[in-house]
Amino acid sequence: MDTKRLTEMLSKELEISKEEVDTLIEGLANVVGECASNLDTVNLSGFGSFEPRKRLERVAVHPASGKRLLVPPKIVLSFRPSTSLKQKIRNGN
Amino acid sequence: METKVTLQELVALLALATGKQKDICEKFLKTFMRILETELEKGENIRIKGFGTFKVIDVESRKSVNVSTGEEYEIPQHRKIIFVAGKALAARVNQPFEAFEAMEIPDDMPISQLEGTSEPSELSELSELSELSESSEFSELSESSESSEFSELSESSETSTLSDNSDNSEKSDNSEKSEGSDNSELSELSRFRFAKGFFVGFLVAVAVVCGIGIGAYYMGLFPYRGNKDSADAIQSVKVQSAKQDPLPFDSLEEKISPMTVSESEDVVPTQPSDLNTDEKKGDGKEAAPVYDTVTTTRYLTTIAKEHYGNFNLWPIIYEENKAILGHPDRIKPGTRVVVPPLSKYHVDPKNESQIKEIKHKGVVIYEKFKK
Repeated sequence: MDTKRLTEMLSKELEISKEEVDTLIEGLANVVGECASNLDTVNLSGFGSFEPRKRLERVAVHPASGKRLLVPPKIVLSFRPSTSLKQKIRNGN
Repeated sequence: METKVTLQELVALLALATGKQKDICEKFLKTFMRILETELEKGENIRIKGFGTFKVIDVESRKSVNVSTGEEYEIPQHRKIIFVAGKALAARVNQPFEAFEAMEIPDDMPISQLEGTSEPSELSELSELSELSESSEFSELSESSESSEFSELSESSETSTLSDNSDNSEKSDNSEKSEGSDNSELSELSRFRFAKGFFVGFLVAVAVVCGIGIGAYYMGLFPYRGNKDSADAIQSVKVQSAKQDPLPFDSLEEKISPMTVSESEDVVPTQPSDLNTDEKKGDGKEAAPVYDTVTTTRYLTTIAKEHYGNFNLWPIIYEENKAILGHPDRIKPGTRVVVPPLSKYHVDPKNESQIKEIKHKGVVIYEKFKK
């Protein structure tokens, strides 16, 4: 499913315009991003949580040149599905 | 920081961010999650522009051990959900570190200089982390120890990281070397020892030179500083510098101690200040304008923290000195800046939303130099 289809479905169900849905999705991305950059986890019970994780700085080797780099620390966003969701997904069709 | 945001809190934040009613936001989130669940159960991936992609992937069966009984069993083949953040979101999330870049390491520096403690337990943690991290086109050699602190400042912190880690690893290195002495790798080890000796000696020399430089500076021995000027400068710096203040501010700040300030030899012992943010701002009618100097260890953020109690207010200092400052991370050491009183910009250091605005200003400043 792509963004277009998702906005269509949301627009229909919530009875609001597509532009409003787009605003809401964009707002969600901004809020999650901001929380994550402050290292706060966004926990959606029953669905999952968006958890920021720190990656410490590390020494990496460029495969081609063989040069060594010091990669700086960073924060990445990960999603941890809730147990109920994991169970539902676990067994395929 | 490191707190959990609940659904209700998220609804409130979303309403604030979009300007929509709370009940719409709540309905939106619940419907959003429901649609996602339904699609994922069908095995469908969902790609949301500006957000990211939720994917369902197949996992092969694998052998595992029952931890309590010790007997082996098989984890059957199954599916799991993964999420890949979109570029914009990933950038937003990494914003505290956006100014950092990967730095090349010169070939003659042995890896042991860069490691914290290299123990087997850390290597296994490394493999766990690299499993989770989505993009690793580089093979990862080692990981600095958990104790290596973050610095929110740019490249110049890295050299101090290296020197700090070299202290830690010296012990483990020596024991390693005595063990390996009966190998045919004697020549390689002695070469390492040689190079390391050089490196340590070099650092000591640099430290001594810096120490002399700082002494001369404060003695007013530098030719371009008139004697009167230097006397004023010494006055103002001594009066304004403060010790670590207990004001609760941004989460990351607490986690990240400006390592270079504490570790480096360049720090001059400071005294409590009466011009600090004691909730009583100077009335702006001070006789002498407040100055400070940017050096290799004193950044705008350091200065902001000392004068305003919050490192995030650095853009205020930048704005005040816009005329002489270029890229905020590349200010020539020795640049004297004016530290304006917060009242001049009508900023209340406790006002959270103002702080956010100012942080945003910082981002805007960086943007100007990116293009």
